[in-house]
Amino acid sequence: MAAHLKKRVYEEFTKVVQQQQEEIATKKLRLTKPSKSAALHIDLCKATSPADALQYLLQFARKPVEAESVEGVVRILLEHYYKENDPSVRLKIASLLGLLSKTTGFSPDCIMDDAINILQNEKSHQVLAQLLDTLLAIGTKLPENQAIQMRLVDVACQHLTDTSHGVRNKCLQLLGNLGSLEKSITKDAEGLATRDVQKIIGDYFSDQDPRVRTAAIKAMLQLHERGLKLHQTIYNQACKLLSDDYEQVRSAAVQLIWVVSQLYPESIVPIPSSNEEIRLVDDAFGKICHMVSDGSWVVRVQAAKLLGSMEQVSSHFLEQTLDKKLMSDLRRKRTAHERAKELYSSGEFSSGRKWGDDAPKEEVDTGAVNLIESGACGAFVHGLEDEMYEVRIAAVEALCMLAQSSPSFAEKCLDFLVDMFNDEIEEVRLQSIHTMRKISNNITLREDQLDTVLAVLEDSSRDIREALHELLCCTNVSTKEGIHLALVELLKNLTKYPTDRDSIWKCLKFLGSRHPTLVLPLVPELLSTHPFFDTAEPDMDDPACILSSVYSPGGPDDPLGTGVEVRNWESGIIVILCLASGFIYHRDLQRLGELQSELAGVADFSATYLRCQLLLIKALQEKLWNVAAPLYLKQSDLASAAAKQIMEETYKMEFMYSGVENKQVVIIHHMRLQAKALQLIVTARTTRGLDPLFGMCEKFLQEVDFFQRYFITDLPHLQDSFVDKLLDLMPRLMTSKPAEVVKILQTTLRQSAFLHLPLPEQIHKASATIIEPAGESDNPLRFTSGLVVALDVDATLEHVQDPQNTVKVQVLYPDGQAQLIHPKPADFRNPGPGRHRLITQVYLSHTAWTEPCQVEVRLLLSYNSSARIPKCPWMEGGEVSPQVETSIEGTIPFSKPVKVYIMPKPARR
Amino acid sequence: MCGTGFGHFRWLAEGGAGQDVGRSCILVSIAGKNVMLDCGMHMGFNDDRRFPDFSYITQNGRLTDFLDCVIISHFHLDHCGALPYFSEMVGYDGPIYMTHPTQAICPILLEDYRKIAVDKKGEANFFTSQMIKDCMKKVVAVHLHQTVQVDDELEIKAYYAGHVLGAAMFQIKVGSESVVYTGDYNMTPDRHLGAAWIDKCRPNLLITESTYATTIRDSKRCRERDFLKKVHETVERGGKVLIPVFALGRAQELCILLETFWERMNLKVPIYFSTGLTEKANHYYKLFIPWTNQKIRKTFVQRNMFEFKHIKAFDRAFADNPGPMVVFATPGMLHAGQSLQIFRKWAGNEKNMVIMPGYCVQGTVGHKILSGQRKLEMEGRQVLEVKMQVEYMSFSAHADAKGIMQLVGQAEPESVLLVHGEAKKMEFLKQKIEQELRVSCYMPANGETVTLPTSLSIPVGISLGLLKQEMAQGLLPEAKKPRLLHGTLIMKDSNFRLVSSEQALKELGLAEHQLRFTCRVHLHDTRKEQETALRVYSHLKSILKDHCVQHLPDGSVTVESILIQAAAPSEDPGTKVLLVSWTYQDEELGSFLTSLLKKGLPQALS
Repeated sequence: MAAHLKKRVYEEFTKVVQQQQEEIATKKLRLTKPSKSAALHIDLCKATSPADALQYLLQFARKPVEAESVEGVVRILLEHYYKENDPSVRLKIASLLGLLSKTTGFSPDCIMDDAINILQNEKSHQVLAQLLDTLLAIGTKLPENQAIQMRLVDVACQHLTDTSHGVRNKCLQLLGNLGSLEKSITKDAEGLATRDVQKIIGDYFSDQDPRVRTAAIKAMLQLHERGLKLHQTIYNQACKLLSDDYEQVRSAAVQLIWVVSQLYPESIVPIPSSNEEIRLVDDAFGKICHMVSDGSWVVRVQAAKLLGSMEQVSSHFLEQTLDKKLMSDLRRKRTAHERAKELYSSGEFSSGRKWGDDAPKEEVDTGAVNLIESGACGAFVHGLEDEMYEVRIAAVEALCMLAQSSPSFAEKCLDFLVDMFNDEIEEVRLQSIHTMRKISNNITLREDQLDTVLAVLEDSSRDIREALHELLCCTNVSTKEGIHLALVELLKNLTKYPTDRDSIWKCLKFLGSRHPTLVLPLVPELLSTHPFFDTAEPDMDDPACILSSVYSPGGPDDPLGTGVEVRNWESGIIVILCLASGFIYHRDLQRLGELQSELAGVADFSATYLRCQLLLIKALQEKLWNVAAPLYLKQSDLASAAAKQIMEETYKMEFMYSGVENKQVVIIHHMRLQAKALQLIVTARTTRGLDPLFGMCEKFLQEVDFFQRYFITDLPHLQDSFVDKLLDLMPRLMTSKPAEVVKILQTTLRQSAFLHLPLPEQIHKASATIIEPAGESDNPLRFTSGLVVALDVDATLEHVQDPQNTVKVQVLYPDGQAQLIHPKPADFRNPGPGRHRLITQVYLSHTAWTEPCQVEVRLLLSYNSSARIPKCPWMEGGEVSPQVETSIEGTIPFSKPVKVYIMPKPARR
Repeated sequence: MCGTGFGHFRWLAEGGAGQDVGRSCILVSIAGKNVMLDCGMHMGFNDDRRFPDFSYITQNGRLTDFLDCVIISHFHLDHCGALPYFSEMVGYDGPIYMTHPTQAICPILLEDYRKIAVDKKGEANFFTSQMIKDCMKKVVAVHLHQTVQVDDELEIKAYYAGHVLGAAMFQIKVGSESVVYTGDYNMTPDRHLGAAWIDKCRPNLLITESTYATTIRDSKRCRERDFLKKVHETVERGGKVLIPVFALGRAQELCILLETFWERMNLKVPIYFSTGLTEKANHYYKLFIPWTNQKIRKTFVQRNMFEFKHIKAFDRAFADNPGPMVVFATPGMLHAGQSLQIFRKWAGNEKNMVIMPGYCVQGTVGHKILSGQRKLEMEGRQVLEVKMQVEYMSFSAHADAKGIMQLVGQAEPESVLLVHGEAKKMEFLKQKIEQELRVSCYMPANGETVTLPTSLSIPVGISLGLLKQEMAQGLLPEAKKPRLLHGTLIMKDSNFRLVSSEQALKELGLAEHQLRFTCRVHLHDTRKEQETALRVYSHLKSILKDHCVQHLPDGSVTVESILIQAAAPSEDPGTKVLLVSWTYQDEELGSFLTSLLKKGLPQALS
């Protein structure tokens, strides 16, 4: 060991000396390579006991191996494999082989023969299983090579009869992943027996070991995923597996049935013990529904989830799922839902409930009652009442999906969804409210249902209330009384939880605009004024007043004339953007953004780009460039400021917009490169001495190199551009002195053409609004200095990608001290696509002040430009590559700052 | 190998009327072991009929000698009420099995009941507090899914049953025979308990309750929502809500329901709970968190749901307080005690409300007001006018018909026995079980005995050598399919073993006898013997492709180990006789060959 260490150290030492000048990063990697396999070899030879060898192997596995040296390592491992007697070491070697063959850039076909060879001679079942796993890794690495795949399938078939379940499992997995998809190919290849992979796998559906049965079903599903059309005959086999003793088998079988039902929805299957026939999808639906009352909750979740995606099922079966024939003492009884509906339609809706009100009516024919075999009957009733909330959530989700595709079902499931608003788990309540919102287009709420929905407004959870407000925004209410009821309840909500103000007002606005005809007769009543007696302007903070103003439907016959602002659509001329033809001044673009909100993102994005370009041109047109001699004066303020601003703007463009594609990223990076060049030139002109310039030039050239490497595919689009010209001159630049470099840069920068920006399809600017603190309070927040005070921050974020990692809160104290706070991931909620809500607490603290003062709170978007760049290839392959924490490179403020009045008091003694 | 001898069920007195007032007591004999399931009392009687007639079990001899163990499914008095009487007064010293919560709560209820019976009604010949204590000393507590070995052969295992805290279903197993007794169970989870669950244990018999044999219930959510809405509306109006409950079971469920609702809706109206027994019981509910439902189990680390924030102990003086409030008071049928007192105070105000969460026996105030009576005659000729609103909500914790079917489907028993229900209703369910699950079903009357034959399976040890030999020969082993296997069964010291015949011979020291079958087949063939043999050879060679067919130099033909010789009988030159000889082991092939040869040889091609 010592000798080896010495050798290694010596090696490294000498090489490092040689390479200090250039490209340290790439060469350094190569340096460890030869020692890698050699070291392993030495280690393994020295290992005296299997435990030792295992330790060495484990250590070895922790480090990544690069593609070129994989083969050598593999050879050494194989060599040791043959010599090794201990199965655990062989197992580890086998697993290492599998890992190594996954290395990108390494073609594992060379080790396949060896792997198969050692497989034939192996006795230990565990090692066998691991070797098959390795073969699987090899096979998946070479998806095009038919011959290899065939061979592997053959090997798998040979070992299918093994007595160990682990080996059979792996064989089936191998078959599922590599089994050839088209039969024709197997037939063409003569000499090899035609294998019907489906048949072989299907035979193992009745294996004695449940784990193997599960593996067989999974393999079948894998075949399906790879695009093989499964035979319909599998359906019957899978149905038998539904009554298996083991939950994992049943769970997988449910999936398989679902797959087959999606493949052959319209085929006809007979109903056992009768002459009738039904569509396969209906039959499968019934079977999966039955599994919703399975004994294992894992299966129940699986079944409930899958139900949601069976949209082809007949409506008759679908509606059965909500139907549970009630009876009491053999007499038919109506459900509470039916009774509520009846009461409502007969106009006695608030009558009190009496004893015996639900007394059963007609007798039930005992022969006609089916207690279990009714298939779909009541599946959702059971699912929604399940003990485990996971099942309930899955059932609610399934209801949602089915209701979205079938309006009549939506109407029917309404009662059940409304019931779920009272679930004991908040997550389930929230989910059902969201579901209701999603299907709200298809439904109209009855008054009694609305009543139940509105009762939830008093919930103490903010999420629930806000979800409910959103639901009310898009609900259809049938009557004027319903609207009135909603209004009253919302007002009650407002008095109980004043923080909901914004959300409630928004809700009222939509509610009003959705039901203009129902609201109109209510307006005088709401304002309790007659429109003719127009009094002095009412207090604008009175909620009712605000209500009426947003409530009014607008339009010419608006009784009070206080309609919402009507947009002047005539001026909103649609401008077709054609940047290629030249400049449109960015102010026009901004105006356009204001006019048409859906174009705002694009307009803003292009405006920013144009602004950068203009800045660059302006900076280059500065007079100071005309002076040939280096300028040591501080006259270049404008140019350096421009460079700085362009940098900032490019970061904004790159990170503040969602939907930016690679095409745009190239242009943005290019712009940034130009800005850096500008900066370099300005520095060169303003600083004395060459030393600092050396470093800067070096860095800049590195940047160019970096640009070239990462955007190599996009370079053809950048003809005539700055970087294009620069790359032509690269060999010259590398050798010339800094002063010369600067000169070249300056001319290229001036000569380079303007690159026009291809606009992305959908682009949105990230924005944030801080709702709380509102910044209006005159009462300072008092706290004892040295202790902390919690400040509630509530903000809405729009179009922010991955806010959990990027959004930060900044607090600026009057003394210039700034504090950056990372909110917890759980503080972000996602109420809708592209929108996020940050509700968090920020802790403030400071030493004592003599009088209250304001601190500024704002939101920042942090970015890290290297995060976009693909990671080095070997890092993803290695099993232990430590995730490099994405560090923050810089931040962009993206919300208006809010001032908070605080007063840290000196501590009392 | 088939054996009968599975036990009989003795069905002791069981009152079928009413819902919670029957008495459960079942005697099971299984493979020679006697187990008593539940030991309930009848609340309706005040004389000897109150307790089951234990003399029925054994006329002479001690109960301890006869019974191997007693199992109590849960703490309701109709399932455990007679336990002190049975163990202390009749005399039983064997083990009594119950779950931990049952063990904790059972004595409280027994003591409470004893107090009412002895101290208030002044009954004699009743068990004493000491007897309850002594009886509880004989109890062995079990955990869920714990297999308890009662003796060498008898084992029991508890499954979760819902219904009330600590309720369990028991599997009783002797050898390969097993019985599952459900006790009372609930298949729909509620606010504090989960649903009953059992694995596919495939017992020979499932004894299930059938209280709601002919009912399919509505979703629980509607009822809960109605209940909460009623309470909420009343307190918002400023009214008072009275909920008469029994101390254990539903009371806790409703408490949880209201507590969470108060929490969610941020309500401040006080909720009171009458003190005494309930407080003690709540204490146990707090301790037995693993027996509750998912929500309580998951959140108890942050907060134990039974540590109520909004529910406080009730004081008599509170009833006169102004303003809204909700009060849980015992007893549940408004026939006496605190609930009746409060009712009298509040009945006159139409803003108030009383919610009856359960069944009321005829004659009680509860029953009267539920049937719509508005003027009640109280003691002392006083007439009480009921102006308050009266509501009925049924929160029952028994499985309905669908639930029973579901459980039967889960356990997959060979047969089902229905108990604890009305005969007429059971008849319907029996028919359904037989029709839809194709499982035989019994419904014995009180005191009736059912005997059930079982197919006895006898375990036989098989030698590994034989098994491996068989595996090597055979194709894929197919699960659950019987397969033929040659071997020798050795029965020695009530111990069965299956070994290969060679090994058997060796072990028993016997010499092997060869058994050969020989057969003559007459062939019409004029050629010489050798040529005939050759023809036979080529014929067999062409047919039996996967067997080894050889032509030996002495003119005979062998197929595997079967020998065929051709001979010419002197009298008729036109016929040849083929001698076919095979050993006993090759019987199959041998008989196939003879039948083949009997059909004659094909005409020579030449």
